[in-house]
Amino acid sequence: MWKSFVTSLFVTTISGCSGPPTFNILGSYFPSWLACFGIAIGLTFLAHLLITAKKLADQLWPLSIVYTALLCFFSCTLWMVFFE
Amino acid sequence: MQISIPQRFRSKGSIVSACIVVAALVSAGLVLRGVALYPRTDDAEVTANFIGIAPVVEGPVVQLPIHDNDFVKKGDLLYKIDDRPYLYALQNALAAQMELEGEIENESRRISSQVNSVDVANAGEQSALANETRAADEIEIAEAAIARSEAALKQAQADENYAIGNFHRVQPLLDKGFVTEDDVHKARTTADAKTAAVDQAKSQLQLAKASLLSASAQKQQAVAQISQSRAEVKESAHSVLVLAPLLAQREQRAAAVRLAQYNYEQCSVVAPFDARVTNLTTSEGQYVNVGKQLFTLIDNRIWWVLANFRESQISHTQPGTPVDVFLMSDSSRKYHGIVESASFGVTPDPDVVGKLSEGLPDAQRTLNWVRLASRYPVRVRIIDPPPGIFRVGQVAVVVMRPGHRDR
Repeated sequence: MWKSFVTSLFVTTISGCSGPPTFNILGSYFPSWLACFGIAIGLTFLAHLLITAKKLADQLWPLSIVYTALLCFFSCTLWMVFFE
Repeated sequence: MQISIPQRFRSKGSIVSACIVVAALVSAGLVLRGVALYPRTDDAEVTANFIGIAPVVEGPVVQLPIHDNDFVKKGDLLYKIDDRPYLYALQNALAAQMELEGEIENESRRISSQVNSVDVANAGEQSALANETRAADEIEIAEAAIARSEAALKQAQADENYAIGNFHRVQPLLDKGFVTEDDVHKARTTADAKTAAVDQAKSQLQLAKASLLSASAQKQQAVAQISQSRAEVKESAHSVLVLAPLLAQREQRAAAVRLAQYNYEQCSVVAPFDARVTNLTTSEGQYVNVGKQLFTLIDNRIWWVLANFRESQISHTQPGTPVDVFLMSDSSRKYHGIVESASFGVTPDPDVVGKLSEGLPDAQRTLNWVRLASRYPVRVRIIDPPPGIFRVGQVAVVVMRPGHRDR
């Protein structure tokens, strides 16, 4: 399931769909990367639950870099999929 | 936590960790590459050309068929100024033009009559020349008459000499009786008659000489007449008027008519292009002065987005580059644009180079370690803008698509 999600992300990235790069929230325009970052935080949390469930948490190291990299990966991938 | 580090390298967790870090680096690199290849900015605004509509002539507005924010087509009436004063001015100019034409006609006739008087003077000169010729002929006639009279006088004197001689020869013979009384009387009478003939011939000669004098005087008079009539010809030729001053006024009057016509036509102001009326806050009756702006027209033919790009991105914004444009008012819709040009000048940063002022340069003493890139407006023309969507000042987002020239 994890691998199929990543694969589908890459497929859509290569196909290249581009949405509006800004969100309008009651007259204020927020940049798209901010939204990607917010969703990526949620996805990272989900990934953390998955890692904990698979008992990989004590095997991954160093955790601070791994989770930062995970957040970066989700953010960048979401942005590339939906906004580039 | 008793596991040594070499064992951890071989474990499954280490491989997953390394994969996650590599994936993050790769995705971050791809994002950077995408941003570099397809420069984008949300520092962009929709713009269009706009003009202030101001009248060329002044007067009160009598018609104002448009309303604020109306769409007007090229040639539509925007407003009309009271044109009566300009109509009257036009009629005045036309009347002045007609008056000039009449003056030209009158003057032409006067000039014709003056040309005729020159012809008359020429005829007078010809007549004076004929008079001179006739006087010369009369002089010759008089001279011939003098010659004839002199010959006649000589003949009469000869006859007289003979008759007197004859009388003196005959008279002594009367006493001797060789001739009769009658013969002597006849000889005396003949001698007296011949003397009278001599007197007559003398008076004929006097008469012929007098006619010679008269003919000479006539010739002098004729010569004087020639001079006089030549002077008259010159005078009348010089006094012929020319039309040039009036003809020169023709263009002046025509120009006055054209100006009046122009002013009259300018009373109705029409839209110079398809446009939107903006900032119209007046009504009929408003007195407008020459050059005073009444409202604004936004040129609806071409719409642009002015997008500020960093100076490092300007090299990617070559003219002709395709561009995706999003309007924040409707961010779901994508418009296509094309880069038309990039600006070549913005106001220099006063915190760096100081204020541009007269006198001495105002150089700053503080420096920033981190310098920010200048931004230059890039003019992106919207391809086929749908009507009624674009407004000047709308917030837009612009994404360059250099590789998508065929789209």
